[in-house]
Amino acid sequence: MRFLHTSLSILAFCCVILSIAADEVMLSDGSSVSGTIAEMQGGFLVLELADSHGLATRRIDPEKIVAINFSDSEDSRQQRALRRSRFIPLLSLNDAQVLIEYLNGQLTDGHALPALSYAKQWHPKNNYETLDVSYREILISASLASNAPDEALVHARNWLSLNPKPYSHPLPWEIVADHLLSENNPESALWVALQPIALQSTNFDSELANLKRIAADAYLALGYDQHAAALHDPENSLPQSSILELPSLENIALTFSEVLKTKIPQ
Amino acid sequence: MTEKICSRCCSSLPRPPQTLKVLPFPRPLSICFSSILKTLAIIGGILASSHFLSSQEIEYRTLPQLIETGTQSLAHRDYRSAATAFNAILDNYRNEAVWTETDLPEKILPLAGFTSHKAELHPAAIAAFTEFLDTQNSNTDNQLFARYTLAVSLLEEGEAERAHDNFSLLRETAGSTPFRDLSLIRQAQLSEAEVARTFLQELLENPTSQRLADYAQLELARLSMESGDYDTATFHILDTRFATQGYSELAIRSHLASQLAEKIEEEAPDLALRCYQSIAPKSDLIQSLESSIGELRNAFNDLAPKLRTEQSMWIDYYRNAIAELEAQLEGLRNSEDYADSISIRKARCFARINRPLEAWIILESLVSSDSSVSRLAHLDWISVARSMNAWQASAVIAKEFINLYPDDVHIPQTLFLIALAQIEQDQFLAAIDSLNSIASIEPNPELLASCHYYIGYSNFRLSRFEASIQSYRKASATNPDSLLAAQANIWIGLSHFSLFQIDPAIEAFDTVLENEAWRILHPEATYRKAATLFAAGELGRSEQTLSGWVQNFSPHEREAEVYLLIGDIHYESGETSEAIKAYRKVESSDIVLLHNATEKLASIHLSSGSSNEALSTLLNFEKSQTISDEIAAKHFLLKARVLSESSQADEAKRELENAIESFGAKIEAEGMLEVILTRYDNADAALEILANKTAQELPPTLLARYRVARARLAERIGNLSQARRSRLSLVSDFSIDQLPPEGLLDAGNALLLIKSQETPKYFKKLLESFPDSKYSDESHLGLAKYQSSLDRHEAALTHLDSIAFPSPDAYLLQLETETALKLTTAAQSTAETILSERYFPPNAKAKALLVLGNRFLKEQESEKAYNYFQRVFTLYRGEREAVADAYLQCGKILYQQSLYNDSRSVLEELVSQEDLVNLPQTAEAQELLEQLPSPSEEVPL
Repeated sequence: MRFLHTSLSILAFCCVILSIAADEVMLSDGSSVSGTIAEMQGGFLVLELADSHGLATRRIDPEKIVAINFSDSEDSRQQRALRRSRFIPLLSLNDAQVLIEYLNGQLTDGHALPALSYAKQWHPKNNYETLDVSYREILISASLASNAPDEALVHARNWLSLNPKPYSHPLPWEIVADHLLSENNPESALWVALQPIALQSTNFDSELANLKRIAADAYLALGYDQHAAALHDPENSLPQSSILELPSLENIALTFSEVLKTKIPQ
Repeated sequence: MTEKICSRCCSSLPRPPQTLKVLPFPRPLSICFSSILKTLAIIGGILASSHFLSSQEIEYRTLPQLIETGTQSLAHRDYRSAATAFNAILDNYRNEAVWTETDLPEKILPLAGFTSHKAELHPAAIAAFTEFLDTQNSNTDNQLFARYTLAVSLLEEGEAERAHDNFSLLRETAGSTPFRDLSLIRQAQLSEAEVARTFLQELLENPTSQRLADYAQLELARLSMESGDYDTATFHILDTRFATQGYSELAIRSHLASQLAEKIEEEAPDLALRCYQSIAPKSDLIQSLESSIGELRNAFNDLAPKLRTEQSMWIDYYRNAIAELEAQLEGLRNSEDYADSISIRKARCFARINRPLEAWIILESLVSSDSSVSRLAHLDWISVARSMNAWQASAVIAKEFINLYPDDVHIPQTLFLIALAQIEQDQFLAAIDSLNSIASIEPNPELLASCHYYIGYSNFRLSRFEASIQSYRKASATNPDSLLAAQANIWIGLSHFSLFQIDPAIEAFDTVLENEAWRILHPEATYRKAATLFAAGELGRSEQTLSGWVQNFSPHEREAEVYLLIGDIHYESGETSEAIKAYRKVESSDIVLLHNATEKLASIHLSSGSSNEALSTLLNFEKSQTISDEIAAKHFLLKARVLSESSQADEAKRELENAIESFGAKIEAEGMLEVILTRYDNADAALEILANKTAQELPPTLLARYRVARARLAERIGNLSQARRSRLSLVSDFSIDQLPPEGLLDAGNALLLIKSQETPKYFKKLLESFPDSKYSDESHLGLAKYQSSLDRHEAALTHLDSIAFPSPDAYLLQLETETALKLTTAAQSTAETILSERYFPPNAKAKALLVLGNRFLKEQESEKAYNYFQRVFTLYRGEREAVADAYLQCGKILYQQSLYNDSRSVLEELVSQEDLVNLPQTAEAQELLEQLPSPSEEVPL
């Protein structure tokens, strides 16, 4: 009897805990369902209902879900991130941000390879435009930190293939331009490096240092020393007499579309 | 009690919102919020006081009512009623004990002043505040506020001087409160720019409010900009760190940056670019404004539940402020985005600071967008491409502009730019087409005249001097009073000169000289006239003309050339001492011109037997000038000649060797091949020496020159295989960039012989890298031969058209090409030119005769045709194929006229020639002979 009493007490306590720690799914009809979000199955969200000890589940059509409140605020960042990663398309912006924070933490802690692996899995499922840049930066940085420059190049080129092009993010331009320079193709490196420099907007100048270095190196390789110096130091004004001739384009038969396409060899 | 209420009141005051109203610059920074803040602090005290007074049962009943009315009206922002009530207290109770014996004046005077100020009753406000400041010893905050509001009211009343004094007093007493900065800003606004700057600088030295400091920076920028001190303005806008980044600061700073950039765009495009780059995009402004509204709304939401009834004015304040900012946001969202307009200006700045690639990138992105500035950007893009000498690209971009905007008013101008690009690329035929298409759409007279002018120029460059004269005449007639017409007349003269039509040339120059409006071109016309007379051998008239030149136009940039020509005239006239005098007067920064004069002086001395004098002339030149690459070969060749004639052959050789060592490896030193060939003049011996030289480790360009020399010498002694090997080694052993012009030419010609696809690369490199080389014509000929070998006759003809001084080879190829293209008239004209040139080789003349013969044959003028064919085997028997052709054609003509015996006789003559026996024409003649009727069948005519 005493045991039963004790067990009931523990069960009651657990129920209290469960009821306190339950996830909550807000539905489009204004109602909400509590429980433990278990998994995605057949395109539906599976919720183990509260107080059912996992015996009762409910399958919820994602289209009817307005919001999900996870009940894991006490968990570690890794636990929260990995749990959320199973429901990426359903996450709120704040919850989706947890994944980015986790990946950045992994990178900072020197775990580039798992960060890269997770980023590759999670990025395609991300629905938030504001987080797209973060994922792409992580993909490139993690590739570089994992000593996989070729993969970084692929991610950079994918990024540059977007329309509109990411002129306010120097990283992919740096990767592609640097690669072209190392491939002894200074003309193309120059065109790539100069794009964000030319199209920069306010408060962006300090982030362009690497691109300016690459562009200066490309100028040097093409024999335009003064232009290289001017990029390093804007005080070095360029004399008008030092005509800069268009590298490489002059000697090939151009059509207009070729002119437009020549600049970024991707 | 008073303190307690006041304290409670003040503690519940909301913090001032961090947004400033966006004021059209340069309106002063809004200070109303600050004023309200201070006012409310005072109101707290007043209200407490009025409660206190009420409890004292004052004898005059109306006083509490007046106070109540005033405070209620103030709470409801009915400043006029409030002012009426408070001013009534002043009027009615000023002499009563309640006024003179209590602290009522300390409370009522600032309220009367403030409400009057807000109700724009400035005289009342001035009176109340003045009395308050003169009579009351209130706390500092109240005094500062009163002084500030008084000064503002004085300003409103037009009493600027008193206002200035009060701001000055305020500044002295404000300590480190923001009133100090406010008063400095107000004083600055009341002062001339120079004084204003000192006030603002004082503020910046020790600011009490970062926000006001930022405002002072921006105001200093504006003042500097207005006074034309753009450097300082740039410093305040670009090189100053702004502590606050609110919407107002961002907007004002961007506005100032755009204004400044516009002013300095031409003078300082680098700084203008930085200004344009600092302009916040519209999206940033929207974001900033949204953030400000959000902050204000949050502050209001936090505050609203805590506000008491008498503080309801704050609800109005917040609601109004939020509504105003939302209206601004709506306006901002609906306003046109200025990003593209800024972008095109950035592109122009990039172009101005010689960073055309960045300009190109910006303009290209604008062109491929649906921006309202796309069309303008497209035109700029054409110009940027031209500035980079990317002629072909500029033409392509321009053509796309025409496709996109066929009705644009700039189309003729764009076509004109295309034509100029084509001219720059020496594509004169294409340029003529472009220019003719502009002329056909009847542009304005100025452009039409320019079109004719450049058609004339293109024809001149194609050596089509008759056509160039016609075009220049049209240019002159279309815009007859313009300077372009004057220039056209000078070109008419030059064209006639090129045709050696002396009188018309002089007539054209005289046309310029007779027009006073064209005075600026008189020196040029006079010089050209003199040069023409000189070429015609009219030395006296030429000298006379140049004397006039010296008298009328000296000093002038042509002066050195004039004295050079005067020297030439005297030299030709045998007046060597006069010639020497003239040559010595040649002074120029152009070393080539200077060297020309020196060379002529030395030559005169040499020919008069004064080789020492000649040598000393050359040595003096060496002392005064640094021998440049372009004159090195000429100089040392002459010096070696002088030394040789002074019996210093070894010294001469050493000079040549030194020249080779110093300049042989310099790719631009044209003529070094001649120096090498002069040094090693005995072909057999030289070949052996050069064989060693080529094996040594020498700089590649010099080594390539030795290879060329070796090839030329081998050719000279008939060793053609060695010559060919040497030339092909230029391709196999050197990178194309190491080859001097003569190396590129020989490599190209060697590749042409083996029909290599690499052939054009070498000729094109020569034309591109050494556009003024003496080998340009040979390169064009090489390219023409290559195209011709691939049956690309039109391309061949284009290259032939680019040859300035066609050689017999070039004429012959032109004749063959025109024949292949069935351009019979052109071919006839070329053939006639070949026949008229006395020194053209037999193969060219024989070919020309054949072409003319065939032409007349086609027109069934058999007799004329027969005459041309006959001349071939009569005059040029060495030209086997041509002779065989001519015999055969003659035989056929006679056969067709049934003159079988004569035909037989001619054909038998052909088949009997031993050296022609294997030619296909001979076989055909044999067949024809077999078809001829026997002599007995011939019917006599």
